Amino acid sequence: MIKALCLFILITCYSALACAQNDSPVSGTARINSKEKMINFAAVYAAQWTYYLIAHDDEIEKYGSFKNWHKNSINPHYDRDSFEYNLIRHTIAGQYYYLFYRSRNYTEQNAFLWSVISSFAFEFTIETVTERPSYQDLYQTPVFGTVLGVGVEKLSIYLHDTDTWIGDLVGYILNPFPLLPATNTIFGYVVPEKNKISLMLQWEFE
Amino acid sequence: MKRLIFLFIFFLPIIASAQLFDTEEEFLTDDWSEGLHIFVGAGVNSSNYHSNTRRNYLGLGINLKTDVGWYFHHDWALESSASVKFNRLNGDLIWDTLLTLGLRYRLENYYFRAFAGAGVLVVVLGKDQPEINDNNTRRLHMDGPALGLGFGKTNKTEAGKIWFIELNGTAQQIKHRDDVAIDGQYPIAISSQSVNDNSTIYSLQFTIGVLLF
Repeated sequence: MIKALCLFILITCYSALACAQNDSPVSGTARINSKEKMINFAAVYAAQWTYYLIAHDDEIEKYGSFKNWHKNSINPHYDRDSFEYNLIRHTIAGQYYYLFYRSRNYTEQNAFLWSVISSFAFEFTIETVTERPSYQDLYQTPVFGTVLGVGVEKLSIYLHDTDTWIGDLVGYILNPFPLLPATNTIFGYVVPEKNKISLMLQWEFE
Repeated sequence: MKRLIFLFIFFLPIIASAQLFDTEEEFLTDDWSEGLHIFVGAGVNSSNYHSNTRRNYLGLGINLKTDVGWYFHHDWALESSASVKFNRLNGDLIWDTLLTLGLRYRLENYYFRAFAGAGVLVVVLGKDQPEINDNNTRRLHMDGPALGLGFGKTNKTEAGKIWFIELNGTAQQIKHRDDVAIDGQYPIAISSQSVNDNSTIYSLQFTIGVLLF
């Protein structure tokens, strides 16, 4: 617990101090059109559902229900989760939201804003299968995630600038999203089967 | 009412979305640029617990804070903030989170803050606590309303980076308590009760931080 706490504080402080008024080359005033915003949001949303269904398999089986899914969504509360969940896992999730949106040419403010929207979507429409939305998570996921994301983005750019294969490798491990090609379009299909309904999402790159 | 307030706090950045175009204005210590800005900092806190029957000094601990502000005027901002404090008492870790909505007002390089919201205090019981063996309680979760005042000063480095120092005083009441056990990854409240003994935590926090963007 104490080690995790110290690590969390160190990373947060590093991110904040190293990246005050981030001036990374990805900064800019690029306008993202509505279609691209929806596609990017849908991509994150699909990734959230995928992660949730895989990582919380046991809990969904034990506590999940369709009734919970809609009843919980209107009933947020202060959660009782552990330090590890609230401050570490959610911060890392928020960091990925931020880095993804940054890689799609969103400004820092807009990447943060869409991280907020993605966090709300997760809390109010996905995680409600097993638990109520959490006030702490609604704030901490996008805000702490953005603080960490700003630092990780700058660190990965620095590593790429070293022009070494190890720098590139670690840079892409820290922030893999620049590897994604530009978004073109996304398709969704609902496939009814005998005992289940499948949702298929297809993301086409340029 | 509490829920409405908190929904408003968390929807604040979304409300601001329509205006998130880069104005190219520079954020100055004595002339704030309008728009969305985030301050983040770390520091120390000194906290005291008071109730009708007990008084405990929680000692010095660390704290982290973030302020997500909508700067709607060159002197005023509306902000939603989180202040996470850590202290130790008798081998237990006290993890305290204040989630607040407030106003920030600037006077030259100085600024003043007033904020209110809720505090969520978690006591992570040490391994030597008898509760663990008696009823599997691993943590005590408590919450209640909180409010505070603060002031600070923004500075600019030669490289043009904005940083701040800040002192905040907060008071948070404890109105509700859950004893929490763990089932796999899931926390389960094994008992819940209202707290009516005027339990309050008074805290001073000194923070140094930077403008993230």
